[in-house]
Amino acid sequence: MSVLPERLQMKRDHRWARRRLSEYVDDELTPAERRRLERHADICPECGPLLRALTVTVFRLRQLRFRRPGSVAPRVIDRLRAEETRR
Amino acid sequence: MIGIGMAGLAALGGGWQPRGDAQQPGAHMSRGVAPASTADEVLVERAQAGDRDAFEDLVRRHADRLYAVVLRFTADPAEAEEVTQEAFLRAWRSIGRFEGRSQFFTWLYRIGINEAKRRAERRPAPGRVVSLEDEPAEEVADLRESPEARSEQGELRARLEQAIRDLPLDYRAPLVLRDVEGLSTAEAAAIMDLGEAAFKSRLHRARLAVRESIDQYLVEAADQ
Repeated sequence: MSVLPERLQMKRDHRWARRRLSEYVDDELTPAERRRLERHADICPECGPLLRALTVTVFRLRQLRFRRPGSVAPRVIDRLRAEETRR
Repeated sequence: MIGIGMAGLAALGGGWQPRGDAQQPGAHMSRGVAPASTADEVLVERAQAGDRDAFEDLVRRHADRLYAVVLRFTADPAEAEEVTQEAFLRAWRSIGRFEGRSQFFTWLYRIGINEAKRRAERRPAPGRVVSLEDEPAEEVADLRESPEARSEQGELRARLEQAIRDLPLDYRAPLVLRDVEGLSTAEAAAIMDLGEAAFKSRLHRARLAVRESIDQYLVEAADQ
């Protein structure tokens, strides 16, 4: 009896959730939106795995931040001073 | 409950610290106890009055981070350094016109990224593939990991760097600024001169592309 509305709701939630997966990972949803997305991701065979994959991807990208190339600041300062002298 | 997102990221060991963290690699611009933006404001004011020492302090605060960002848009480390120098030169010459409507580093990053993008667009063929792997980097090895695990991590990191470089520039910038550098959505969107909705859409697409590339790598690695 209620199968059709449920399917429609699922479809609507799916469209809504797919556009907000990144915002969920970034914690940019309201608590109500987070709950709605989590409810959907729990039962959606597409959004659940995608959300987990995105979370892991973003985590790994953030890890790149902890590798820093060498310092260039002294040479930037040298260049600034050289340009000043030239003028 | 799906149980990931912020809580999941924290559980993975990468607590999200968008702003105000200390001077560790990956930290933002804060120094000492003064919030980064306040200290920058003071230095900018002094620099606008012609105080070159104050501007040099701004260089010390931001140059290495800007360099790390533009390195992901340029052909090689030498060009990245040139772009970094050029960005500071332009900033110094036009510091008087900086009105403080955005934060100093937002303004500076915009100058640097635009310059890097201009050069990338002029480049006839894709430049040599360079990643931070090519640069001496400060990194503390996780001694709990086996050599094999560390090597796999290294390969995965190289694959990630490559996936970032494969992104078109307009998609690479949001991902680098937001995910790698840890700026907020508002800050990163301002640097790119984009509305937040457009920024988020590009960021999401970029993440999906990187995720696909990583998935391929993991499948290939599993097959070996």
